[in-house]
Amino acid sequence: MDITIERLERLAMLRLGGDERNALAKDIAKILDFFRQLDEVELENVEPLFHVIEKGATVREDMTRSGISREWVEGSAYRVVDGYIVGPRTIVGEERESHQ
Amino acid sequence: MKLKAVIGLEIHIQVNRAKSKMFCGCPANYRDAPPNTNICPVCLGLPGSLPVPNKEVIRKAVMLSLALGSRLNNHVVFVRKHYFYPDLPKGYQISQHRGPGMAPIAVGGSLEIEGDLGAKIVRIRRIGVEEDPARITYPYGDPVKSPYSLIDYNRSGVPLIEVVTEPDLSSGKEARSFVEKLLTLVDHLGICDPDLEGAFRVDVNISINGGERVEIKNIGSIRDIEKAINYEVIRQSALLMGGGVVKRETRHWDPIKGVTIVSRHKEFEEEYRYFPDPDLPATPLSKEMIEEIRISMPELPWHRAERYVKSYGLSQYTAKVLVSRKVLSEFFEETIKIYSDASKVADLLINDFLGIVNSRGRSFNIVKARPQHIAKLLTMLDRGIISIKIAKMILERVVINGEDPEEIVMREGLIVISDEAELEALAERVIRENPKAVEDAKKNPKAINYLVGQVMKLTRGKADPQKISYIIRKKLGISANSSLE
Amino acid sequence: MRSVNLINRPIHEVLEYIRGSPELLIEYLYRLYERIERYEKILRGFITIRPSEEVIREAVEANREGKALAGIPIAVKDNISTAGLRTTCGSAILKDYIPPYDATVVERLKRAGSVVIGKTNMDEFAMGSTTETSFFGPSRNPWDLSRVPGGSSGGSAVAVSAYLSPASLGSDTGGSVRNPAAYTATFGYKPTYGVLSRYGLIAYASSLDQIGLITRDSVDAALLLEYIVGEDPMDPTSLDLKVSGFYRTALNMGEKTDFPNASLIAIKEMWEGVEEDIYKVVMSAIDKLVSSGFSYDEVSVPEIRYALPAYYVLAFAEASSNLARYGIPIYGLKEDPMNLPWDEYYSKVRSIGFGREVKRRIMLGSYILSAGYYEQYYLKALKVRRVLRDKLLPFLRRGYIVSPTMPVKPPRLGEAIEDPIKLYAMDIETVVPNLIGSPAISVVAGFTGSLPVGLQIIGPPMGDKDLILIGRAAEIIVGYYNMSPQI
Repeated sequence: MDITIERLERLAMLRLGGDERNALAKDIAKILDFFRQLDEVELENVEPLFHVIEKGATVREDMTRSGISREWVEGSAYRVVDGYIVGPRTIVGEERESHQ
Repeated sequence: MKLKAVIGLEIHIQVNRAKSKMFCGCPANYRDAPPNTNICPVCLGLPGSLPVPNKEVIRKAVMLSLALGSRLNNHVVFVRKHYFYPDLPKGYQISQHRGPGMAPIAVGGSLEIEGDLGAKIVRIRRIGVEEDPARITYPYGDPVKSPYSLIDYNRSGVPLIEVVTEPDLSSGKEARSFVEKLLTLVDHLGICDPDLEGAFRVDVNISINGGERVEIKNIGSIRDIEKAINYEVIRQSALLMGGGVVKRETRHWDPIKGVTIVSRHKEFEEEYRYFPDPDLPATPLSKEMIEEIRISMPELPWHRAERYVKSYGLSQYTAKVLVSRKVLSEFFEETIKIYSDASKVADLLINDFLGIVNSRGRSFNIVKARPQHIAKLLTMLDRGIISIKIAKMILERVVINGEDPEEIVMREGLIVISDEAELEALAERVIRENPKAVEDAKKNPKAINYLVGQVMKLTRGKADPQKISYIIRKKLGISANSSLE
Repeated sequence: MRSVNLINRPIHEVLEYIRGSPELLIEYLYRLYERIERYEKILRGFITIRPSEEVIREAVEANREGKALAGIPIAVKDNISTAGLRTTCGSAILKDYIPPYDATVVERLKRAGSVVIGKTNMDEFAMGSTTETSFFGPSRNPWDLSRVPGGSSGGSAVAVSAYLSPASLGSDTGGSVRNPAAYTATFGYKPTYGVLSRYGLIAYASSLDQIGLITRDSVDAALLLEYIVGEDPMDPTSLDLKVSGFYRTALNMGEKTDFPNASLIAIKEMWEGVEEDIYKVVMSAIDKLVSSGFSYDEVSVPEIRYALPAYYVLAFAEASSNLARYGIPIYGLKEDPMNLPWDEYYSKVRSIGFGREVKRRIMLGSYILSAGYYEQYYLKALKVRRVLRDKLLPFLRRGYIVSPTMPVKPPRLGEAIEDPIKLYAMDIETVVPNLIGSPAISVVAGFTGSLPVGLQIIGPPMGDKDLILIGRAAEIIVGYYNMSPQI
């Protein structure tokens, strides 16, 4: 497989433990082989079928409707300060910086 | 060393004239709402929520594409652009992109500007529709110092139209002209009120002498576009001249320090994994629909300016300023329906009127005056009922409070003093009380202005300064040929 | 007042008693809760059970107000949003998530007078075929407690087959309603893509997901369908299917009814790898149908062999995208974000919150969508999808495609198929209708030993009504419906 587990972790925003990693590497190789069966089909002049719905997405009129209250957010989020939801820092993590 | 800068722009225009967000029914205008009160399951990206496109935003994007002469795609295709960041609740932004099975709403087109070396055509690369992410602020003002971020989803999902240019621009000034013209256009098309906070954001891509491309992200004002580019050109040139090499990087503009700074943000090499959004099958954009939109398009600002020049004999410059804001041009047109001297109306609007608006944050929302107020004001001036000074004095109240100028003048007794005897008496008093100034005036006729000013003070501006000057000169025996005022 | 035992009766019979009789309704609900009390600890079909006082109160109110569904309870798969009621998707990452809104289908059922009795167990994020990947532990098949009930809507099937609820909502992306229906001798129905609103269905693979029904028989499916179909302005992929009245047709079908002269078509390649005893049971069911006037044909569509890899490429890719939102500190599993850089925070929460199968699918899905591989896998799968649809639609225009619902008997618990490919191969029959957007049902074909065997019938897009009627015909002719296991 020409892609590393580390890269897959980055793409998926996951971090696996050592055992998980090994097991996954084996599984992934097998599954990709399984996917490669698709190469056997003659697909030269075939257009991809992106959606089974042919008429397109339904659109809506430019109108407002009521949403949800901030109370729900306050009850659900980890922490809310003055109405703002508290999130992690937005600078890149140190660990990732050292990979670059 | 000859420096050639190659600049391309990515302009994100908020469709703040829409009533609702791009994919849900939350109001598009979130500015006065307390944080996290303008939300619903869709714009919060709650599990199970689904996006439903705002038809009106698509119409407006088509309209903009037509105005710019771009080629419309025959479907509206949305894609998912994946990246992880706290301002993106779904972990992807619904946007548009060019690729297999994906296309932006339009490609190509152009906008002509007054370039550094004459008229210049700036080509458009593509026009797309997308949703705005949420807003992040920091408890200690900046991401590096703050131990956490503060997220407000009010803005999440607000409709954006993205216009990307080819790298045809060569200077900060040209970039600024382009953005100004584009903003005037989207103002007239009813897409965006450019004076609302956050109405547009510009990313600048700039490379010097064929070197690496630097991206300056998220510039939010027209003046900053020019300043940031000018700074960056200097920074890169200095680097090159010192034998250094410009790195391909992302920077942001610090308006307080006046410099661009390397971003410590999330910009590690992004793998966006674009693919057509499986929740949004491609919607056909028929020729009939496009035609219907083309027919219903409002007058384009440059056509309106031309019309003003032709029909009302205004100067190019005056016409340009009048159309710079649609609401201003409409005010002009309404006023000249009542008061026919177009030049006088235009002059007042682009100078004093606009000055008042600009000094108070540039938004026309604060204007309470109606066209008939301006008409009345100009009429009173014509008839000599009030002086120019009085007119300028009460204009602010007319504009901000919507007070009727005739009422102000009546109530406060601001009618011009034209009684000769009264003026003579006042002139004599001033002459008596200011012997030194009188001496100066006799030597240097220009110094008469001080004495005129004193009389004006006594009349509280209600006299015609020219008349006063004439009276004083007569009394002092100074010739009328001296230049005044 | 006469006491009636309505347990084991389908909804269309229960309604006749409880309409206008809140006392009978209360007795019915008490009996349900008794059964839940008795069997739930073994079967573990539910993740959340609502308190009986609440459910009875709401049901009686609906009944007194004369609502059409008169207080009938329904179990809802835990990936379908229910306002104020925990919705976990069988995952640690949502174990405390309480949605602020109802899925459209749930809202419509409530409006018709039905009451949600609880949320049922499922494979984590619907990713699985046995309900064993649930964070809350597996469910057991009431027909054989040592075996799985199928998945991913295993809990929904358990609830209906063990009569802990007369019907359930499930979801079906590659067979997740039909698979457990087949394994528990219940009726499973996956609509044409778009017929039931997905608003509120927590997405696994958006272009394949549909809410489905698991019921005691096809008539109940027809009955419930009337209240939940219809275009939904909150779902841009929803279609408008008109179904009023067809429940009566289903109800009135009997032995002597002239069955719609239908052709049954078997695609050879869909039967490859089917176990011998399953094959026998399904063929004998088909024989009965043929004796009653159905025609039967065998055809070959070699491209069917690629349905499974195409399905999994699309499902993994879309899943990786749909699950990119989890980890955000607004809902679900959260940590203290203080001082953590965002990428560390996200990775941490997601790694703790997601199980192994989910992680596997997300990682592979991200890979499939990444630059350089998008054309190699994703676009190819979409092309195979078109080929399959073009090949199968002509058959669906002249008849119904039939196959066993599942190629193997329900595995024993923990026979945890270590080989992912073998696990995925269980879906070989069921993924086909999801890929092409067609409706499909599973009816009881018979039993091998004491284990239920399902017959899958696939219809043309928007042909849901006729498909359910064919299902009714099959039920009557083959003779198995409203089955109850000895627990």
